Amino acid sequence: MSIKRLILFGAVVVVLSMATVLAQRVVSGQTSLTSETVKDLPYTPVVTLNGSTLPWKMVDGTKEFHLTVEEITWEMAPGMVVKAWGYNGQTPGPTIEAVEGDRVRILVENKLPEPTAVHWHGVILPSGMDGVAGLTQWPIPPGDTFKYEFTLKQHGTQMYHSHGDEMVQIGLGAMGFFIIHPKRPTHKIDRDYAIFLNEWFVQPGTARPDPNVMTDFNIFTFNSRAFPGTAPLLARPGERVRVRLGHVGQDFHAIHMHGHSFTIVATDGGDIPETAQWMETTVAIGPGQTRDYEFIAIPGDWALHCHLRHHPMNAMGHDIPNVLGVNQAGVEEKIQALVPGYMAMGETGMHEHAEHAKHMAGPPNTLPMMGGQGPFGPIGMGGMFTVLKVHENAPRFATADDYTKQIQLPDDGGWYDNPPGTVAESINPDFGKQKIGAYVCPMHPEVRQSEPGSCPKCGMTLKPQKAEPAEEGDGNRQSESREPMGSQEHHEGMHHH
Amino acid sequence: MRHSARAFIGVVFSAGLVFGCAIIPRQTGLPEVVKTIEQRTGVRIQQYTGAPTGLVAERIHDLLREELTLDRAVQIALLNNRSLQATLEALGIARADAIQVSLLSNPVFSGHARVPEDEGKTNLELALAQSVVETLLLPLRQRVARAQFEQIKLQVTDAILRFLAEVKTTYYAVQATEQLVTMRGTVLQAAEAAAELAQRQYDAGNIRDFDLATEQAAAEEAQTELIHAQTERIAAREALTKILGLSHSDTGTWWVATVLPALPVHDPSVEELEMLAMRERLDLAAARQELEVLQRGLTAARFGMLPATVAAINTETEPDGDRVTGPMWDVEVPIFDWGQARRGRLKAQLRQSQHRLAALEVAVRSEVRIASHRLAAQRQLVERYQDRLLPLRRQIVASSQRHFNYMLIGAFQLLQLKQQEIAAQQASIEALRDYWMARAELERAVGGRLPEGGGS
Repeated sequence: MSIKRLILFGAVVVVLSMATVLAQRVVSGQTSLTSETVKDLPYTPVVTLNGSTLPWKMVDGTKEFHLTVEEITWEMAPGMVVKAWGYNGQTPGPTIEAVEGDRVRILVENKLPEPTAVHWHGVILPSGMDGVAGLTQWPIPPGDTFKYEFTLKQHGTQMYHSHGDEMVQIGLGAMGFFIIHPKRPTHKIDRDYAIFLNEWFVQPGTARPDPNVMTDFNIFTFNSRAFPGTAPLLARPGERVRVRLGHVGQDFHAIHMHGHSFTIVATDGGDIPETAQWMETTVAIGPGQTRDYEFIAIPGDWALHCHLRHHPMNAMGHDIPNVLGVNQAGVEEKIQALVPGYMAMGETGMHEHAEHAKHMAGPPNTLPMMGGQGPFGPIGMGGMFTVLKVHENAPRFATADDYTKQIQLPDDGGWYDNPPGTVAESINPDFGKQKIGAYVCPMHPEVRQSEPGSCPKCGMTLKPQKAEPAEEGDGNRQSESREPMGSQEHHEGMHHH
Repeated sequence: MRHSARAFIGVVFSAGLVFGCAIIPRQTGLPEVVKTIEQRTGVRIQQYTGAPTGLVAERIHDLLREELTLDRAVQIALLNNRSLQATLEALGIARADAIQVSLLSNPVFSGHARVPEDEGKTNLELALAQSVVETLLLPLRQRVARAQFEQIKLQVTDAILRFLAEVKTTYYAVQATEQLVTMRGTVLQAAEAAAELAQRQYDAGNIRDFDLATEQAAAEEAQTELIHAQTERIAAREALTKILGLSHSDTGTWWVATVLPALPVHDPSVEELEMLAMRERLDLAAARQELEVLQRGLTAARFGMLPATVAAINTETEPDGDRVTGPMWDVEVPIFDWGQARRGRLKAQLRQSQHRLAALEVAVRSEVRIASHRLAAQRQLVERYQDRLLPLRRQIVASSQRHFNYMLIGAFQLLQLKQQEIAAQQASIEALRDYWMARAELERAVGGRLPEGGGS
């Protein structure tokens, strides 16, 4: 190693260390290449939603990367921070991007309390670089740094992840994308998004993911973020968009994107010949696999989520006695006499929960099972859910960094402006214009007033209750029965709109 | 000779009268007992003869009109408990005994009339005899009697203090059961609400029949627990009614505060208490007094060595009509019984009493230590319940409420945790009740009153 190379290496380490510090400070942020450094790249840089791309330096013709694996604090969504194990302050770790034919050197520094090794999942390389502790190399002891070096002989969406105590280390988030761009791309991609799927078990009220759980997960994430903490995918109509999905978890996922039929263009095995590509609206992906799909963006706000029903949902109890369709009037008061904060819920379904979570306290560091506010009211989703926003004015960005500066959460960037006559609507011409008879607390029917406000007992926003139509007689008479939450939410949404 | 004999008799009789009248207890002893009790407990006792007067009934009626506080309960018990009145009568008996011992034996008059077979006057012999030694020993006997009376007074006072401790204990039991009934009622409410919810869930087709039955069974169990608690409450109230000497018609009329008093700031140290008990315990005082009685008895017995002597004046009319008058002595000749057995018995009794006193001292010290440690242990329990377990249980309910809000747990679990909180409250109340009972017991064990700041 020449003196010059040593100095260079030192400089890189300093830069990377600073980057790590920065990354740890801004848990969901990232450090990445700047517009300056990427403008000469022969590819469209990947945007790792809520993540970043790993910087590199050319050292004697080799792209040198530095990964530090360590315990990090990671925000899964506002209101929930976990103690994850990640690379360079992130989970998934920053995306490694390189080009087919590149020689790469990856320095892996272990700051975990136990040995580790990094496996370059799907990458064709010498056996001794495969990163399986014990089998192909000595485990990297805590405090040590190992050097991996190989030449990239393929292109495609690959991954890296811990291959030492996988159960714990992957379970706590030690994985990332390893994306190898083709030397000569066959076509131009306007926007390239990477989404790493993962499942977690974080006992409500705790902060450390439990790595011992095999299948009973309660948090499902896109890039270790749960809705409403997931960033949206942005595009302009007509743009060609690629989405790369990676997965090294325990469960199968069925990623469904609304509004489009997309084409599966590649798997972890490589590009699919055009004649063999297939169209889908839902792509199934199992542990250890990657899938790339492409589509031409169609205007609108389109949901993108796992189609396993409890995956676009945050922690909820699965063994609670079913209260659907159970009228609790009368019983609720009796229970409240003992447990004053008790509220009957779930009687008409769980939709109301999206509303409850705004005013009722849950366990600390726990996301409500559903959340997110859309232009038409509560979205009522969680976990593996985000939005593809195809808007005429969608911002352009050169790097993931630019992206992050512009977009944080799904309602940033606004909502799609639907052309007239293209939104499903009530066939009732008075929808949203009903005369309000009174504002009542959904939980305390005795609390009713003529002005909007919040319940003095529970702080819940009072719901407008419509007056009986005048032609039916007594105009002051008000419905005694509690209105279904759904309809109330709808017209609240209308007012908001 | 005649004059000297008359003078002798006069002296003997008048001395007997003087001693007899001057030394018998003038009072029944009640004022002293009242004073001691008042000093130690702050309450006055009253004694009445016969059935309670209208005044007593009126006073009790007044006391029952408002909340029956511990003080009021004690006042009523002291006025109205007939067993206590019976105990007080021991004073009257003791006084009578003391008087009895202080009295001189009555002189014995004897007469003989003998009719001659032949001519002549009837031979008439009259004598008035009085035991001389008894008269001389009277002051000694009176000293013994007085000591005995003192002993009875101490014993009566001690019995009253024990009685007061029992009143307090009974009172605290009532307060606790009142609170426990309320608590079991709350648990029942929780269980019934859960069962009702379960019924609706079952009717809606949501839960299994045995889930429903489980909640219903829990409600039934809560109901039986409540019945047990209510029975305990009735028994406790009845015990208090009895000790207050109230009749059946009064049972339902009185009410107590349903919250036990809070823990006092501190409890006295065991060393302090042992010393106090040695000084204050009235059964110890009574035992010491018994020693005094026996010592005096022994002194008296020493004089009892004097041979029994009867002095008499004798007059006789001879058949010939002459009349002779003169003193007469009967003197016991102490050859066989010179009082040695009686003295031996008294000496043995004295030694026995000394041993008993020493044993009682050991027992009292031990009793105080046990009562003191029990009090400390109960305080520790109450503090652990109040400062640790209950806050934890409340925190668990508050936290599970948050979990319920996010549909992470169900209503039954929330209600079960609430019931556990209530169970901890129950245990806490029982511990506090036991603390106050232990305190009443300790008060009794040290002679009626804890050191400064330690009163209940």
